[in-house]
Amino acid sequence: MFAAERKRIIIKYLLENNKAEVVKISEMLNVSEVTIRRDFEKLENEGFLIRTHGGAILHNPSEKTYTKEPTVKAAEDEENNEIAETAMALVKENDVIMITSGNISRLLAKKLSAKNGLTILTNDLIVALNASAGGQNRVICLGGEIDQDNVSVTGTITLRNMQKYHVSRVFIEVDGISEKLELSVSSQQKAELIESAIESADHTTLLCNYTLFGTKAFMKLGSVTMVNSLITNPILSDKYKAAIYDKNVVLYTSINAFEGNV
Amino acid sequence: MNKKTILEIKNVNKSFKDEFALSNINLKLYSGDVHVIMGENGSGKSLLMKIIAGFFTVDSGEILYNGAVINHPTVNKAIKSGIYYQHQDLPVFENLSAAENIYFDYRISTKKMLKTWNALENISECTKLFKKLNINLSPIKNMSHYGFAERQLLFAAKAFISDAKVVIFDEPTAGMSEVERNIFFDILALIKQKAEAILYISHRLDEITKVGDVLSVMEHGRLISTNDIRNATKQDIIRLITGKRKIHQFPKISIKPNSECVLSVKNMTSDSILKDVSFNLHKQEILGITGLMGSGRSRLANCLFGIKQTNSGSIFVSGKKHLFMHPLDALLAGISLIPDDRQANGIFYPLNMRNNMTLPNLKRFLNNSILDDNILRLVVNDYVKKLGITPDDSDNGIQFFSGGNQQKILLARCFMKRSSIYIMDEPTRGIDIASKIDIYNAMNNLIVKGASVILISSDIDEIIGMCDRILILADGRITAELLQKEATKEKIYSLAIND
Repeated sequence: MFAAERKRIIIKYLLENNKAEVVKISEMLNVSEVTIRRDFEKLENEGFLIRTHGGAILHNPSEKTYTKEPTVKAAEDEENNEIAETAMALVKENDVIMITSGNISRLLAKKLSAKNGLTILTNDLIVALNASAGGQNRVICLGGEIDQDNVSVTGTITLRNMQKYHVSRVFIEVDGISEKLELSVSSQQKAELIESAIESADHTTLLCNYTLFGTKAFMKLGSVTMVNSLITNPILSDKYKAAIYDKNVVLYTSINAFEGNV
Repeated sequence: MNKKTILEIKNVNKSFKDEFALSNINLKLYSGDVHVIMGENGSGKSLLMKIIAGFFTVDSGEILYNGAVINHPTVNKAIKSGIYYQHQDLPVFENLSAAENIYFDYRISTKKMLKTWNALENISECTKLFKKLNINLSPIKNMSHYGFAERQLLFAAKAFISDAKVVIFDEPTAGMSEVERNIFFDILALIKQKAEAILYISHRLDEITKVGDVLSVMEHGRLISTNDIRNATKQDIIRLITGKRKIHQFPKISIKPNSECVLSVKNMTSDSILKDVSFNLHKQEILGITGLMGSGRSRLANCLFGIKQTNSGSIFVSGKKHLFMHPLDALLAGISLIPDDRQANGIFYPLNMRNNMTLPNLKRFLNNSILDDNILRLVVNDYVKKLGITPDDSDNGIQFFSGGNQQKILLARCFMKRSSIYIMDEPTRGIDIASKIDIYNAMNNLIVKGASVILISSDIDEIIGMCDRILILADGRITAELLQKEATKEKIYSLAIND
């Protein structure tokens, strides 16, 4: 059972019964009591319930208006998070990789901080900070002109700087993938940076949320065949999945259905 | 050589809703030839044969028989015009005798006008026939007494009396012993003298060199090559089968090899199908098992899941010895099986998708011994979303889902069980490409989250693409073990043929 699902069920249960016992909920959901206690703790922080001995009670029973439904934003975060998780599984110990800027890349960098022995090259300042957080990885930040909007560096200096390196894998993100599987990005600088990044890597992996399919951005980058593999969400339509296969691009979908063995 | 063309297939296309299809098939069958057709399971061999025999009509293209177009024949017309098709799974009358089964379509009647059944004459005729063909079986015993191999022999006798011009055999020797195969080949030689041409589907290389004149190789609904093999060596044929093809890459995630052994099989023997099989499965590993038809692949899966009993040998799960008398024992030990024939062994047809997915997992949704339907629906919807099952309404009857989605529903059922070992027997056979990709990624999900997978498949590309380690089965024995990086298609074929 997934955390979000569990939360929804616990909320529903509490709204109906006003109180809940850890043992009962854990039996009902077939997860350990520790997990339920942790869920209760989270919900307490959100002010929804108050923990008691062996259970929890609804914080304000008269006010049954807890409507913190997952918003569109939250759903997208979850989707991106799953993509980042799949990307992380592709990174092996002692790899030398590059990560360019983007939302999923930043999530990936955060996850990679838990690994050790990696060498990570990046032009994105947040990626650099996230990836170096654990102190176990070597993180190299490229130089160049600061792009305030994207919190990253771009321009000729960055490109020249990048050419000095060689990495085994680069993770890139784009801003649109057309129906004909043409990649596009929002600016010329970004296009140049990605082209140069692909050149200095053995293997290119594109990270993209499934909602990007069927959209176009300002600058054309080229066909999807310029990348070796692509990671997206499993809800992507079958039509796109088959088309990507036909182009001989390896398609990873961020399936996260298995709840672990018991 | 100027030989007569008996049967010609021109630009034939055939597609089903979303299952595999035939695209642009061109084939010529010359008189006097035994034309062998090879290809992996699901490549469309049987479908092509069934189209020739009138079971299906083509979407486009032509079938010329003796120069005349026979595009939309029925089975009866095909039989009358002299095409005999011997099924892989024979349609027999279990409660009739062997003689009655053989002479069913060619009955001997007392009077020409009244076609009544003359049992005595029939049996004496059949005894004569058996003597001639060297078949040592009783014509009066019921068909239910006979096993797969014997039935194939009996139907070969039927092919002999049919006087057909074109005889089609669909893997007749798959379950036969050496003795039975020799009898079969003698019958085949006699049929070759009578009939104009024979189409022969087989997986066995030694047979192909022995009886074949021409070899066509099929792959994913296409006919990729046709060659004369009268003077070809085994190595030549292996090269023809494996060929040079566009190699698709697989979404493989390798986890660093973990030395922890989750499943250990020692000296397992089952009837005469599995002989002394031993192997280990490590944590977070995808172990591939491949072999030809009849090599014991599926029997191995069935033994590991308690469907079939073993005669000797032992199974250890996480170091603890287990005896599986029933699938429940295996499930309790943390083993799940996705069976190869999902129609027969996986799906409950009258039920809807939600029930199909949750049936073995209902215990999980109990709330004071009452089923909590709300939670059940929530969990099902979650799985539907996470595995990309379409349509996403769980009230839909299972029959409204495509093959690929049905397979994903079975996968969800096993995922919900939260086992630690997943055995997948031909999980991608006959399903669309998008669902295949999802299933490969679901396997990755399993191993990333700490489970282990045994992938049993006849698709060698898939085996090489997805497995960390590959075991090759031939005639019930493990003949080789390869690591992913050292495996090639040619290598696996030569090892699987094992001669």
